[in-house]
Amino acid sequence: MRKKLIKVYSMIYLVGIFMSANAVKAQTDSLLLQLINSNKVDSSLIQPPAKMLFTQRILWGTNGILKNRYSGNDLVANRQKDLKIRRTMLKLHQIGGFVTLGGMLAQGIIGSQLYKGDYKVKDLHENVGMAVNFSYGFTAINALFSPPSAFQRDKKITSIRLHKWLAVLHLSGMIATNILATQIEHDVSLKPYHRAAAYVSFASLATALIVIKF
Amino acid sequence: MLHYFILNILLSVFFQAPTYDITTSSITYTMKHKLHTWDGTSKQVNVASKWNGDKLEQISVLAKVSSFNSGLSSRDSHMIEVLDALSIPNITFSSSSIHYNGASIIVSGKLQFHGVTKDIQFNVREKKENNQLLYEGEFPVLLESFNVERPSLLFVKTDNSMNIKFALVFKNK
Repeated sequence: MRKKLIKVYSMIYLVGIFMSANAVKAQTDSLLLQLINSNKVDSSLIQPPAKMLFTQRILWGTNGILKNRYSGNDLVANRQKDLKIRRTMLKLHQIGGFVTLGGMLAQGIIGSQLYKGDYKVKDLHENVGMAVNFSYGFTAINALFSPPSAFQRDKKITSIRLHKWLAVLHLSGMIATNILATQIEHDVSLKPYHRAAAYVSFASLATALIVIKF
Repeated sequence: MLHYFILNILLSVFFQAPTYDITTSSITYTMKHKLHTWDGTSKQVNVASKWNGDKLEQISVLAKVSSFNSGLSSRDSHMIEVLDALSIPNITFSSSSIHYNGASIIVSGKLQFHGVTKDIQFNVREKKENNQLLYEGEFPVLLESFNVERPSLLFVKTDNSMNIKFALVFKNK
């Protein structure tokens, strides 16, 4: 009787051990299988983020003009293309930013000559002003109309958020500088305000470039 | 009776059930650029482990590229682009051998990153605290050796070497 009990106990123990051993094997096999087969993309990455600028929404939103224009119903391929376009546009944005800053610096030097009474540089000042406006517009378009990023999960003040706040400042400065430039011919007393607006634009654009590194 | 007893002991030694479960885990990458250095951390790490008593016998780890958060969405989005995470969403590691050498452990295995699989080896430190086992370690990854185009900021590329740190905590069942 005792021998029988020992046999039964041993059999139960053996079955238990084998089951637990199989559980271990199943666990590792399951993960290995997952490693091989789990190539499912996070669905939130395929869809553009819920929050985006209205300029981006016009082109890349759910009902955007350029939404899913490349690869038919292949949402992954479409989003990959979106992100490539975004990268190209942001590179152009960076180039445009540096060109604009250089133009502003040149304009500052020319403008100061004009303020000192050297009216020979007036045409040059206007032409450089036009070029700066053009490069500034080009830079802005490449940021405002780029496809949205894969994430919008920042909750703290980040360098990009500062960059965007400064963009509001230099955009306002650019608009003010241009409006005041057209009014100076009628009212010379506006000159200091035109210069101040230009300085604010330059300083905020330069700061917007610097904050990106932090 | 004796041969059953011996058999039971032998089987207990060779087929031990998992004795530890993963509780918390994190993987952090550190990248360097001429202008700054930054970290990105994932706390959504899938781990499966096989144990022999207190000794880790095998481990497999999976982390999604999208789960890494560097505190800057645009940077994380850039990583999604350079790592082609829409078509290759996972980073995986599966150990092939684990050698204990006191509190230090030498782990060898296969790292699959950006769809490229390479054999790697690294040291792991083991700490035992309050029924928990903590494993920490780090190893470098050369981005270009995994066919990753280095991300750039202001036309300057990041360093080719990226450091990976990990911390895995297992709790006694």
